Amino acid sequence: MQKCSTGVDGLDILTGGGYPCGRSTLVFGGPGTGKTLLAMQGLAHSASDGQGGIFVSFEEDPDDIVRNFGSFRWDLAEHVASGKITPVDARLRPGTAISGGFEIEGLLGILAARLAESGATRLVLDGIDILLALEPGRQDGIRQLLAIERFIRDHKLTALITLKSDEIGAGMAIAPYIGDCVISLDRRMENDISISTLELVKYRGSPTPGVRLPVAIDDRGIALLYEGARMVEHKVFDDRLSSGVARLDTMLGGGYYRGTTVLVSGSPGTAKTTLSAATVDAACKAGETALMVSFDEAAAQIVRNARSVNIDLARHVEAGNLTMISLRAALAPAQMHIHHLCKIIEDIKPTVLVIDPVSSLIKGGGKSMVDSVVQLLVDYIKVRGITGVLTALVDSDNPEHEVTLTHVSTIADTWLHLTFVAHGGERNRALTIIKSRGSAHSNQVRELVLNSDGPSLADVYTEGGVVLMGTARLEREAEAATVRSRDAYDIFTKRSGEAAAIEEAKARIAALEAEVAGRTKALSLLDELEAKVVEIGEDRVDAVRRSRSADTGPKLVLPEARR
Amino acid sequence: MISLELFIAGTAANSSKALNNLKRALADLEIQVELAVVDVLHEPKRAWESGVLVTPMLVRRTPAPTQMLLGSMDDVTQVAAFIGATT
Repeated sequence: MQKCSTGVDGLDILTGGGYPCGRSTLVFGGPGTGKTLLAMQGLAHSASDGQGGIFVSFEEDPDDIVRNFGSFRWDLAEHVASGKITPVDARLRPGTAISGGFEIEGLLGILAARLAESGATRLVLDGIDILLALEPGRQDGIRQLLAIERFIRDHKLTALITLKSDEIGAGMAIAPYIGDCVISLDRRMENDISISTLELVKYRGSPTPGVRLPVAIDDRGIALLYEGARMVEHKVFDDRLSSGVARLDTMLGGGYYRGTTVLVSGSPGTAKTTLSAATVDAACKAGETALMVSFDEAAAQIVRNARSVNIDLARHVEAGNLTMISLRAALAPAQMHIHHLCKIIEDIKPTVLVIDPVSSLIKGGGKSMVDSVVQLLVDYIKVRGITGVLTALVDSDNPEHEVTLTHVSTIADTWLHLTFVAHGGERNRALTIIKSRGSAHSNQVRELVLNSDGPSLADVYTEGGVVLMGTARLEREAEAATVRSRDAYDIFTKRSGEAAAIEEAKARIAALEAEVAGRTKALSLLDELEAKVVEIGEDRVDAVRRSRSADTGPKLVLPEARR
Repeated sequence: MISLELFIAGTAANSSKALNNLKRALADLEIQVELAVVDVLHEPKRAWESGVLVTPMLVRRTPAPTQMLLGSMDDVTQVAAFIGATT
C-alpha cells in the first residue's frame, strides 16, 4: 500500500510511511487532543510538496482555524492564499432549523466538484460527528459514514476524518471499523500535568506496535516522540572527558568515555550540581561546547554557587562555550520538555549536556511515558556523540531501591552515587562509583571534599567497621602523619649513629696502621743495635785472649740474630 | 413575495422526500411563493456559493433575513411556519 506523509516525523515512522494513500484515516480523541492540528498539519505538509487539499470544518470557523494555526511554521496563510489549501465552512448557519433526515451525498457532490476544480488529492473532514449527530436515526449516521468512505476510495483521496472520542463510545461505535487506518489521541492528567498521547489503533495491512506514545506540541506543530522499535546506532568513542575532579578521573580509569551517559544520583545537598559544574568547567576548558539545563534553579545562582568552589562558569558562558538554560519542571510534561530540549540541542549542537536534575522530569507524571522519553533523549544525544551528565535526586540512601531511577540507571553508562555519611557529629559527602561500563573502575568509597580549591576526593578510613570522614578523617590523617614522622626520626638517629661508628672504626684503623709503622721502625733499630753488640763482643774476646797469650781458640759464635 | 431555493442531491432519498413534502406544503398555502430547485450534483458551484453543503436544504431568501431549513421536511406544519405563511 502506498503511504502519504503525515507531516509528523514520529507518526511517519509509526505508520511505516504515513497515512494510506487514497484511503480514509480516522482520528478520534477528546477535546484539546490535537485532532484538528494533526489534520491541518498533514495538509500543510502536503501543500509544501505541491499537493492540494480541502479542509472541511463542521465544528469551528475555518478562518479561525487558519488564523490560530498561523503561529505554526507551516506558511498556512500562504497555502490558503495560493489555493493549495481550501478551507470549507460546513457548519450549519446559525439558526438553521432541522426537520427530518438529510443525506451526505449533496456534500460529497459539491466536494467532488471542488476537488476536480482544484486538483486536490487530500481531504480533511474535521468534526464530522457534529453533522452526523443531527441525524435522527443511528443507522443513518453509519450509512453516511459508509457513503463518505466509498466516496474517498472512489476519488482516491488521502483523507482524514476526525471524530470526538465520546461519539465513538456512543452512536459512532462502528466508525473505527470503517477506516483503513485509525488513530486515537488522548490527554490525561497525572500529578496535575497533562499528558498527551497517540496510539495507532489499527492500520490495515501494516503492523501496529500497540503502545500509547507521547505527543508534544511546539511551533512546528504536533510531534510524536517515537524513533521506532529498531535500536538506534549510538556513536562510540575511545577518548575520554575529564569529570573535572582529578582523582575521580583516576578512579574511572581516565574519565568518562566521550558519548556516554553519566547518572549522578544523590539526596539533596550532596553536590550533584557542583559535580556536574566541575565536568562542564573541565569540558569547556578542553574546548568542548556544553549545554547545562537546570530545572527549577536559576542559571545565575548555579554560577554563583559554583564560584564558591573555584569553578568559573560565567567565563565559559561569555566565551560562548557554555549555554545555560533554566526551566520550570512543573510547567510542562516530561515529553514536552524532552521535545523542547531536543530542538535546543539541534540548535546549539553541544558535545556535553547536563540535565540537572533529570528526576524533575521523572516526577512529572506517567512513569512508563517518562521512561520512554528519557530513553528517547539518551538515544538522541548518543546518536550525536554527546556526553551526557544526568543528575537525579533520590530520597533514600539506597539508590538501587529508588523506583523512579530504575530505568535511567539502566540506560546510564556510568552511575555515580553521592551520599551523606553521618559520624562524630558531622555529615560528610561520600562518592561511590556504582557502575562504569567499559572502564576498570575503583570500587572504593571516597569522600567528596568541597573547598575553595574546587571539588576533590579524599581517602576514607575505616575503623571498627565505621567509615571515617571529615574531622574524623583529618584526625586520623594527623595521627598517621605523627607515626610517620616518628619513624623517620628513628631512622635518622640510627643512620647518624651508624655513620659515626664507621668514622670511628676508620680512625681506629689509622691508629693501628701508625702503630704497625712505629713498631716496624723500632724493630729495625733493634737489628742495628744487635749488630753492634756482636761486633763489640768479639773485639773484647780478642783483647783478653791476647793479654793471656792464649792461642786463638774457636771463635765465639752467637746464636743467629733475628733479622 | 416569498422566494425559496431548495438544494437537493439528485434522487437521494431525503432530497426526494423533501421535494415532495415541500410541494405539498406549498399547495396548501394560499400565498404566492417563488421556488427554485437546485440539484447540487449538477450545480455544485451554486450550492457552494450559497454556503449550502448539506442536502436537502431549503433556503428562504426573502423576506430577509435569509433562513435555512435542513432535512426531509416530514413535519408539514414546521415547513409552513418556516416559509412564514402561518405566522
